Amino acid sequence: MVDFSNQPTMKGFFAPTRFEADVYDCEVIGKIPSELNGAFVRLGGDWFYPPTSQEDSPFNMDGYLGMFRFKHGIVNYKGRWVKTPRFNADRKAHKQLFGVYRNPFTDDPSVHGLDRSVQNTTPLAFAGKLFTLKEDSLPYEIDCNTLKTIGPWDFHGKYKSLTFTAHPKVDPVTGEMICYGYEATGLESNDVFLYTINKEGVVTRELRFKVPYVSMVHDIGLTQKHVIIPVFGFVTSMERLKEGKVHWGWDSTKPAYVGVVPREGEAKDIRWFKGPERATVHTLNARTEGEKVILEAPIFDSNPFPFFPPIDGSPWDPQKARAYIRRNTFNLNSKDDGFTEEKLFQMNVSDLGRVDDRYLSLPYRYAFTAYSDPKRPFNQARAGNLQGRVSNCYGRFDLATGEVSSYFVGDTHSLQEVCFIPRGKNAPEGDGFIMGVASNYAEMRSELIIADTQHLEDGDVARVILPFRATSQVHGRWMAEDQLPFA
Amino acid sequence: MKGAMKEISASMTIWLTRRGFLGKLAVAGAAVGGAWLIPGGGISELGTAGSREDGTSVVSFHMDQPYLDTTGKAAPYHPPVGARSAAPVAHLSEEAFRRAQSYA
Repeated sequence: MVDFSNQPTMKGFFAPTRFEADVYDCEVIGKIPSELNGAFVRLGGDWFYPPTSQEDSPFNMDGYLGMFRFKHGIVNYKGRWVKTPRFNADRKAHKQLFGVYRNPFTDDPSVHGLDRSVQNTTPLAFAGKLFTLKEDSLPYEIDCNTLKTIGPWDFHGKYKSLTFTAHPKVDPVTGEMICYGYEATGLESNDVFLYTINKEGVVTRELRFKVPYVSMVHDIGLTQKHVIIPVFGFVTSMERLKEGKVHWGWDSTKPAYVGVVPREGEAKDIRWFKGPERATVHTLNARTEGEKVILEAPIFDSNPFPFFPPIDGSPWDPQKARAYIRRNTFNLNSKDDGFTEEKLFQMNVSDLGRVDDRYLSLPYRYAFTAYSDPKRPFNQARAGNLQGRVSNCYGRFDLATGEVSSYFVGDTHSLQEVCFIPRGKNAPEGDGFIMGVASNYAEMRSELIIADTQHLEDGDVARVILPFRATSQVHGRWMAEDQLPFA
Repeated sequence: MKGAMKEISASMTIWLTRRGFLGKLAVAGAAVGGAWLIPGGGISELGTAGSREDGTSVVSFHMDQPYLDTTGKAAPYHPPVGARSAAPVAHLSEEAFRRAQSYA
């Protein structure tokens, strides 16, 4: 028996959806730009069965993949669960067998030793394959036409880490993928394995090193010369896991470390810089300028996630859970382990930011992310009152001038992560379209927004309408027609 | 109640089409259910439904409440004042809301 009635947060628009879907020839308001041929693929999660604990993290939800397939102005939608061994075991038992986030000690004994990953974070197109990514396991290969789950992929046995990041970086110059796994040798291990995989999908380099303390290493920065590795605040221990707690807690006494390693370097070459309490969950971009390595990212003052609570029992502080776009500069000639931090924009933003991927690891000018503008109207009568609590704008942030141009989604909507798509292969940086899924709280449905970056203030050029609520998303990626063997 | 059901059934077999029967059911629903049939508690839409002579009425459910569609067109659900689908979580504290929706 499935019963979500005692889940206080899973109501209204946020109730579980639980179904798979195919929508052919989606309703479109506006006109799909002719440049868009490929697919917008989004990955997130939903609870197929209720969690075993109210203390669990939404990052433990079952993975769900959605694909908006664009072809000659027509859009088809397909939504499928990522059918991991865990999902299949739950389905067979008709209940949730797995305990809290990344804690196998809380699982039903019947699933001991089974891959407990939920594959709910980032979709990836690489070397002609579609993958789902979750940082606690290997990537899962997916059929890009049917979204059928094929299974875990270890790059022909050459990828040795037990885990694989949700944020690999593809170098636009070489086509190589720089990726890594943390807790690479198992629970509570401080091992990180860093890999280079060529554009054919062959592992060409492995670097093994240790982090100052076991922590979440969710994202990295990549330059043409260096890899930047943020380590911050989240801690775990075997004692914690045996007590039945979620994997991470927040330790405000832990400094934020940032490792800088040459892309061709060895473990002995890593230099660890140290700063005050911060959380760099996601990065925007990075570059090397002479002896300076520069990282730009939406960085939180402290713990952004209440479901990974402070280990000292203090309350989670929403005021410190705000991300600002900041620049960290690491001077490789410095004699100490400090670094500088600048706040580039005074407005707080969603930390799910993106850049023009053609400029990843290179000097760049524009960043894109969502934010909440409380001055914009919010129609409480039609949507319910979430004014100021959800993202209602996408911004294009000009790092050269400090200007922000803004797209507003409407007074009954909120926005999930933004994605940038260049107008063409030779278009100038930032010239193209932004795309992302909006939640329409008045019509109880999801809409894919497409807006022209040259005219963001004018609103969207097209909205693809789904006649239902799509599952919540973490990350979405545009996959061009030539990246995958689309039918 | 039993008598009322028998009366409707008899009416259907004698002189009502299926469309007409559903229309009558809508009127009966309006009389019995009153305001709670409409999300948000409004009754004006229901009054309109009761006076309609020409459409098929379809009872559907939305956000755990019955909703009376009088258009007969099987059109997508468009509530009179919006679904207010964010309302059930709007009372939550920031911590409780972000526990479930860290990226809303």
